[in-house]
Amino acid sequence: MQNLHLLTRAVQARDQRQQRLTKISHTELMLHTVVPISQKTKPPSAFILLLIAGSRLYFLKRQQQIHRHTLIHLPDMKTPQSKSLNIAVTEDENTTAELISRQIEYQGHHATICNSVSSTKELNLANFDALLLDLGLPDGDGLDLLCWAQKTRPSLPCYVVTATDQAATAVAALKAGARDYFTKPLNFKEIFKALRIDLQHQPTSNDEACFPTLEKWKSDAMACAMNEAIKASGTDNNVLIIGEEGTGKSAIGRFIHHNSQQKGNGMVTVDGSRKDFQTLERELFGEERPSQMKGSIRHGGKINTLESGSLFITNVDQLSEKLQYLLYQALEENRHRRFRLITSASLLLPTNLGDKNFLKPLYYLISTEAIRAPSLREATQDIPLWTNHLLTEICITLQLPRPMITSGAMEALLDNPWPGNLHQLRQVLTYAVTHSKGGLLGLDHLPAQLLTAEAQSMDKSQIGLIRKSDFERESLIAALKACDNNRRRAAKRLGVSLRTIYNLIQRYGLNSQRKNHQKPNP
Amino acid sequence: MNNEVDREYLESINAFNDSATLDILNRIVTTFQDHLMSISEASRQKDHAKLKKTLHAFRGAASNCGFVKLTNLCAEWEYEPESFNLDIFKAELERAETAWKNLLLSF
Repeated sequence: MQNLHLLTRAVQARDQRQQRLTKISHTELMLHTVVPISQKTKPPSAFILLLIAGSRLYFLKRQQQIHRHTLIHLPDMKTPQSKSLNIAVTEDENTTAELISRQIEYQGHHATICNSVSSTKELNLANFDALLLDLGLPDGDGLDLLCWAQKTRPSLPCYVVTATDQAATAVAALKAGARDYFTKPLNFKEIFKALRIDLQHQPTSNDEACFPTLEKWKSDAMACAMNEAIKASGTDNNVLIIGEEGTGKSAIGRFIHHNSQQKGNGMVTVDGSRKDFQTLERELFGEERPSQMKGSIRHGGKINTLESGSLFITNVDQLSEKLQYLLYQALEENRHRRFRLITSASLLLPTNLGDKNFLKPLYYLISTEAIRAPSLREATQDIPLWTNHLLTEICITLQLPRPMITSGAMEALLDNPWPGNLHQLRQVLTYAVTHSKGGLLGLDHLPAQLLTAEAQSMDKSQIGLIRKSDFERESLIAALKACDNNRRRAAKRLGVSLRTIYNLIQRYGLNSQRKNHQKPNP
Repeated sequence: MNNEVDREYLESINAFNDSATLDILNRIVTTFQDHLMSISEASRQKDHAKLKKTLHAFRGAASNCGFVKLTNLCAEWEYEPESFNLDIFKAELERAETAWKNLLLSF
């Protein structure tokens, strides 16, 4: 009772304090470039909570003083993360469960509480975006529950939240498939940060909303590819997506999965270009063990154990001959499997199978539906759409505010030949985003090389293949040239410090060039 | 952060901005006397397994409220239940509860 009385007093005191807060003025809002305040945001009493998209900060004005409150996480309305997540929480201690639930709801997500292993197993995990679970549960071990969740839905991010801080338990949990291990008192910022990062790196239903729909693509080549993708997603046929490096094959693969019947069951992605063949073989086909009936039998592996969802093997043309044969054999033996197979490869055609050492029967088995992802130079009309899509992705990954791109910068992007396709576009945009720091992304923020005459005269096929050091050197030379060798201005132009410019000049031996340049003619 | 209550942690879970969170924390604090009873009983019976279990449950609850010193003490006693001292526990619990009340009054 006494505590309740104290609580009431505390809340009353806080309310009185909040009543002194006044509205923030328009002048102060102008301190920020883009201020789309949500119309739905109603101020609770005099407490003004401003949703400033991009900055994710809120400001309180109290007696002419602006108080900047850092990071309660306000989801950006434009990002896919703004979609509220459905999180399952398994915690036997009621008040702790309630506290976790409240923290999740405070972030705008939805929590479903289970008090035991059995009640968690009753959930349909396909409806959840993540699982937080305690280890000590009344009717079983949390680790067993974790294993069950991973087997039922391999792509579901699971996090262990426990008071046990023994290293051995943490290792066991991580081995059992937990994405992370949090000890009490729980740092919810860390939990949500981990969750955000994990959800960005794996396809979720949010990606479906993020990827542009068919009618948005302007070029015939991309519209045709997306049309094929939509047709393929309506079937359970094996899909092969072919295209040059960086043409968005993975994005199309995810799009097919999210539009198919398997979308609720997650997608497991395996990179076929990995050079550690033994690990790759184990991951895909499991381990070979001696058997009395047959010579040997394979246990585990994605192909044998995946019960639902999609298996996406990227760079399937780079699988070793042995793995190609094993894949063919596994697909032949498991014709009635319940998961869907999506593969991608760079320009794997019936005519060049011999050159690529690719097993012909396997090609015909995996390419029931064949989709060709066009290169960026074949689909220049779609550069603005890809730019916007990639900008959103980059800003989520780097946790930076999303800048608006100016028409000048967009024209520069449209003029580029992009031999490195989306990989190159992503590289350029990452550079630009990190240098623009929100607000407007203009010509000044694009890498100098993209804008200089050298870029035009350079062998276009080489642009996407240059090394980072070459890129830095060329950018530096171009910036120095454009600024009449004024290092301070060059630093400003490149968006780096003066010290960095000096370091780079020394690294690339450009000192002598400058001296020679300044030497007066006799 | 003072020795008893971790204010930074409480701020991180929005305890000072969100009355629902504060309400939950208060309810957790009210359960401490029940925890004390079961811990005392286990200690009196010299049942180390039960003592570890009750201390573990209490530690989880105390850490939720940011009671750092109590949490650390309980962690030590969980590893070495033989060294558990009921008087120290009671004294620390009282200090933590007082600090909690003062914290509520101060804001």
